[in-house]
Amino acid sequence: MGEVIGEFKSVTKRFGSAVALDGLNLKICRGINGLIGPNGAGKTTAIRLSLGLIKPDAGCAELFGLDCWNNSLAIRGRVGVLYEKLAFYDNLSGLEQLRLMAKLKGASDSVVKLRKLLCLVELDESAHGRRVGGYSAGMRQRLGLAQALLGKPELVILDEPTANLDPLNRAKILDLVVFLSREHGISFLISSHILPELEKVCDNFILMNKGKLLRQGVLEQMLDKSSLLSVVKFVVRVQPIEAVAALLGDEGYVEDLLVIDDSLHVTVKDATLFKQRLPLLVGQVGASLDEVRMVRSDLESVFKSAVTEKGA
Amino acid sequence: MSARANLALLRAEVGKVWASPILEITVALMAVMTLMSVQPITELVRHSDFSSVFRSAVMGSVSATAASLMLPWVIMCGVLMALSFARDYESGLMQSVLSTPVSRKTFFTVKFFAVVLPLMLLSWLLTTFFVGLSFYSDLLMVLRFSLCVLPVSFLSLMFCGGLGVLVALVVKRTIPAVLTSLLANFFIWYPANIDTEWLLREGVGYVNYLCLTPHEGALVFLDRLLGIVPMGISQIEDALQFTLSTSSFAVLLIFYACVLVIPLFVYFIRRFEVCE
Amino acid sequence: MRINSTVRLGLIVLILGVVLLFSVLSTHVGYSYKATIGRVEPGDTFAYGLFLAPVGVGNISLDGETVVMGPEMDGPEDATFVTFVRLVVVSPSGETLVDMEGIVPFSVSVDFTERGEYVVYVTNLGDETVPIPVAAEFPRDNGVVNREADKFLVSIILTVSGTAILCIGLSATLLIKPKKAVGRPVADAV
Repeated sequence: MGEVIGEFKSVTKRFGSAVALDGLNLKICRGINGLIGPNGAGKTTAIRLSLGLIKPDAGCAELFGLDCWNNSLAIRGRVGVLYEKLAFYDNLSGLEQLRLMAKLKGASDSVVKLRKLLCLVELDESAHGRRVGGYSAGMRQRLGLAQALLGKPELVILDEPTANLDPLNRAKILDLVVFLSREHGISFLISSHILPELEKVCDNFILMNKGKLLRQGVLEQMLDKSSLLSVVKFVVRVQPIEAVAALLGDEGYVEDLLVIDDSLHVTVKDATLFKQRLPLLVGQVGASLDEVRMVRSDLESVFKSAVTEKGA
Repeated sequence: MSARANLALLRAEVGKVWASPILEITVALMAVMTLMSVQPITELVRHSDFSSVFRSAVMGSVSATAASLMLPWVIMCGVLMALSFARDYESGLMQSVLSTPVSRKTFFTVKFFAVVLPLMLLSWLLTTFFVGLSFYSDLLMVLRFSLCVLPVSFLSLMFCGGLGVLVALVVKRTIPAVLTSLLANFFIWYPANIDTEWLLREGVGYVNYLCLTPHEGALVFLDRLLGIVPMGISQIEDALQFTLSTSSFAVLLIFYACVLVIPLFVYFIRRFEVCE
Repeated sequence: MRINSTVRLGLIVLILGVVLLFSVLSTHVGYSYKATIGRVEPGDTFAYGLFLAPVGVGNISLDGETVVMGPEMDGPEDATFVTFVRLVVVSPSGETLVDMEGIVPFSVSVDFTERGEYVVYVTNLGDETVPIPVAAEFPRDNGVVNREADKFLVSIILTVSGTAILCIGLSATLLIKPKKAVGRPVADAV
């Protein structure tokens, strides 16, 4: 993990009887952070809290070493944000909207620079002077992104940044995020449900569920943790396949067993036990073990296993 | 945040709140109400009395105009304030703007005055224009009297607006907030529609206290500022609206103007959570 | 279509013009105003003030009919006085519109072309002290003539200019294309 620029310390937030954040502890690092979790995990609440829009009931949220509620103005000057729910002054043109936001952020409102920014997020030039109220969802998304990038913020928070975009433009936006992070040193906190995309661009992941942090770290750490603690998939090439399959089927730690072509696809709850038991079982039926390969888990499988873990 | 940024936000808010056709509808409504209220002089009078009769006619026109404008104030201020706050909350615009370095104080103030100031200015301009059109032989007098509409409309609109904001921050949904604000403001305005002098002469007791309601109080205060003396005062000289001093009505109106707005302002900057 | 500020200005001016126009067209100067101010000594002059808009031709009448207190128990009763008077009507700008002598009752036609106070001077040239009631009368069938000409003119100006501004604004919206953008996507945009 890189340098920590934000931290939630035992943050609790309730809305009536509903607990949105339940003693949440997390760290936002320099670089690109992926914030993942199922619906209702408390991601958006955490984002709002980090911008001082809501006040924590308990605990403390900090960004750049400043308390998010008490120093929200200073924080908001250093953060750009794109919300999932996009809202603009619909009577203004895209350029006017951006100009207004630039003034509010104390950034340069030079028209040339703002046009460049709109072009950077690939908002068609003909749309710059059109009323935002007439924009399509994709255009609004791009305008929102341009707005978030105004004034060279230190941290950009993107809540579902690629929603409403086609796959080609999704890739472009993510390339832009990587470019800005690597070349301009802008950190990102991206909340998204499109996990393969996050996996490609993020340096650090924060996995939340039910208002709590489940896991945090770089992808490798998440995967290691996952392979130790939860289900892991192995591909086993063995002859004769049926006899070994029958024995494995009786093993308690085996979650799932599939015979695909000449391989056994085994999903196990305890990888260590499986690695110990497999040679014994193969020897028991006198089979020949040609290959054992652990299928590398992806973020999606980590996500699934983590949120379905007991007590998660 | 710089003054330039505050002005840019105010401009954007005014543009949004008064987007077509809201301004046009308001102007039409206010113009109709104003025109109906200008009172021409309909008597032959002694030449030596003419200047005082003329003065009374101008004062009466301004007073009657303000009384007629109270309904547009109640409707438009209540509706627009509820619409402005609740719609921004519901649509997420409040969240977007408050995610920039705009303080809550600035945001609340800008949103509030984006509704109140144009309504106040419109009231004054239309009053001056239509009363002036009838009495342009002494425009200075018309201007002097119509200026009295400014503080009264400001204080009345502060109250109507405060009620609108209260409803918007509690209800948080655009359509219910607008309807509730309209009803609440209308309900509070209604006593100002009652002919208190006539009822006082008839001996209806509770009417004595109607002058203490926000809008009736505003009208009495305006009459006091204009210097209008009611007819037949001897019959009802003990009534509160004639015994209370002008400054008492000023204090009363300032109280009504602040009673909702200041607590709401403090609540908004200290405790209000933007979580739509 | 984007409604620009010119369209909105035009619309507002047009609304004001139309509202004023309807108001002017639907109101009519009062039928008759009459006043009596005490009794006029021989040789004395009474001055009446009449505030009027430029409503066109009306009549200033001295009909000599007034109400007097009758003998005891009879209460007020109508009475008609006949006397010799001088009538002077001065317009708000100070121009003398009428200066004549006559025997009450009589009536004189006056063209009211200005807004303001018309001063009606009545001098009792007779030998008796009498009340001299003065009336301004506008026949109901005069229709258009007795409308406020100045307001009508303003309403027409507002309506026409509002329509013109509105048309200019609409034309600008429909005909003028938005300016082409000049920016190019470059890395230094942020």
